[in-house]
Amino acid sequence: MMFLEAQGFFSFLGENIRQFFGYTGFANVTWGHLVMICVGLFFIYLAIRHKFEPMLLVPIGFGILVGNIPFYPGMEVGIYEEGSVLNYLYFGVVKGVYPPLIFLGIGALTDFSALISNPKLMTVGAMAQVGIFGAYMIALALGYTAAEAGAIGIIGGADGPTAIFLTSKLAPDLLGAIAISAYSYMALVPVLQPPVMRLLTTKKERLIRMKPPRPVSQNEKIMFPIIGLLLTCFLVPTGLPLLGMLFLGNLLKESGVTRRLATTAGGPLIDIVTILIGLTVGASTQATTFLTVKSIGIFVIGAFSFIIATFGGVMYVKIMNLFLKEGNKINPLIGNAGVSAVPAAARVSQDVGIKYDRSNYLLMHAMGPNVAGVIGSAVAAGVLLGFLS
Amino acid sequence: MRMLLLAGMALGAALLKVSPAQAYGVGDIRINEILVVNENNYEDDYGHRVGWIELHNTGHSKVDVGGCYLTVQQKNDDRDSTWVAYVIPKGDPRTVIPPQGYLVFYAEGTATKGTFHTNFTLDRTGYLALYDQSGKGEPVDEVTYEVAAQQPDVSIGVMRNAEGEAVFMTLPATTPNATNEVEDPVPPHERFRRHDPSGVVMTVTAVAVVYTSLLSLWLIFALIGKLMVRLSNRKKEAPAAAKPAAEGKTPAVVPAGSEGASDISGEELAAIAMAVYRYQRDLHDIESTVLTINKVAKAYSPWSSKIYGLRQFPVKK
Repeated sequence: MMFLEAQGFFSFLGENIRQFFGYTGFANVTWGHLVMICVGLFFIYLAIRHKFEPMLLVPIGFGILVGNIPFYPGMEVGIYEEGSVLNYLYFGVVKGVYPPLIFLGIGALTDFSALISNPKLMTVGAMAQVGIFGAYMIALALGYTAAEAGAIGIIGGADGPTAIFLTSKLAPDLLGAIAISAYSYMALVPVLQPPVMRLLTTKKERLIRMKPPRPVSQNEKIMFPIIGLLLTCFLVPTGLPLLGMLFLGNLLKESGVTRRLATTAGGPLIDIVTILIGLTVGASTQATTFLTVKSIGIFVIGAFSFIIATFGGVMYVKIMNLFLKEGNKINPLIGNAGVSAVPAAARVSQDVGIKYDRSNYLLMHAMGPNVAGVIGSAVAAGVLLGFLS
Repeated sequence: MRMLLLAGMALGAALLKVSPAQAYGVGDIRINEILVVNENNYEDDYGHRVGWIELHNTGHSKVDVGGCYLTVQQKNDDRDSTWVAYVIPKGDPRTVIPPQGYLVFYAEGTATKGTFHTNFTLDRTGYLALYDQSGKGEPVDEVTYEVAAQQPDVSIGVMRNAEGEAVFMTLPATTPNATNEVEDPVPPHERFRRHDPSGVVMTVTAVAVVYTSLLSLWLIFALIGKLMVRLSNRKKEAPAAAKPAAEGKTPAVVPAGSEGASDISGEELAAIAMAVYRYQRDLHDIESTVLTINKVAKAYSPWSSKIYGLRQFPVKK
């Protein structure tokens, strides 16, 4: 009798252990999960060891780990499972809530003085957006739908929040791949852009010294976000969520009477939203939904979009120089900064420029097209949204 | 003031010119869809299949159609005594059509089945009109159709044609209590792709839009910049600038480029500011780990004394 009872107990225990094991990650792991965990670890490595956009890559990399812990479906754990905490947090990505909040913070942190003092640099920010539309054309040729192509194209804008915002509206299924691609290439701007910049410029052009920017009055700084909003949003109202928040953030900063709001928008608020967006975008790369041929295609097109954008910006400056007088010419090495990866792209201009002339500081000049790129990519996103949604 | 008065009078006159139908909101009501021959379609609340009329409130506020007239008989004039119409009963809350909402009436030919059953059928005259509560003047909306051409279970109603104009036509599906615009099976992005398979049109258009928006910002701020520079130059030249010097006072800030201004360039000032900032930041960083040769003494307190926290050995006395 005792033996039978003991046997029953052990079979019960064994059954429970077997059941528990069925719920563990070890029982549900696939090769896809392991690959994605390696990708997540690589992102964290890049961020910590090489300091590639650590503010973004650490939360995203860790998010990839979170999203690829294998689990038994139906436990309300995964990011795609309704009712899970991660799913609630992901709502801000899916509905495009986080990107405008990040733009508010960007606006509060951005100094548009470089652009206001030399406004012709604004058009450099416009022409670097050809990367978006070059990628759009490639994606169409590769058989993606127009909506998917638009979402993929926006990677070329080098603006993570804009990419997330547009993708959530046009092709939500590709959100993880596009966001990861956009942020990865933003982090790899120092690797992707310099070869293209060197290829397109002569040594003489790289040595061009630009006039120091004139001081900008506070009145101009206050007028910029107001006129900027009215002009761009009357032209492209679909860009309103991003542009509205960007210019509001900037007005909070420049008005001089809302310092507390500007500090919050450019500090705690943007930090909180960055953590949330990084974690959830990373976690959205569950192997089951992420490792597809489409995702690989997105990564390849994304790289091309950055190269085309750099090409567009540098070539445009070279063309502009044909019409500018000696002394007013622009160093084409700041053309790459027309993409909106702020301030990484401007830093690339500085780093490449200083290699050829140690006393030629291009950073301040490159910030002009760089912040114009933020406006340009948001306008481009609005155009794509207007045509394709 | 006079301009304001005139504007107010013009507005008042415009409001007075509005017809009663518009004033009550009935002007927003349209005959949206009708089904003349109903064999296997929408059933009324008695389970019968009869012809029906759908009204649509195109406005953005609710409209009560109680007291309005529905008729299939054309009226010669307001004194036409032979004119017969169905008066939609007043006081029934169900006759209030919400903004952008719909209301269906059953054209059964018996006026004894309730608010939504009319005293006429649709298969006789090929005409249907809606009049406002006065029953006079022009109808709020009217439609004509060919009775013999009506197919069973095929409705006619307002829909956009290929040119985008709203016209009364045969509908692809009956949609009582709903919009007639059935969902387009081709999504807009796909329609765009069909017209622009390579993406060239999109590229040219979008780059032009982005360029135009930033170009206009360039032009405006180039202009503003010039104005600002001119204004600041004028201020510098103003004789008032010399006033403090004349009074023997030193101006608080010496304008750059003026006599007496420092030779330090803006870049050098920025470098000094950054160095000061970094120095202060570093000061803050090592605050918590001060290395000192001074004797550090902590004030004694029985609350933090270890001796009271230890178990005492019993002392034999």
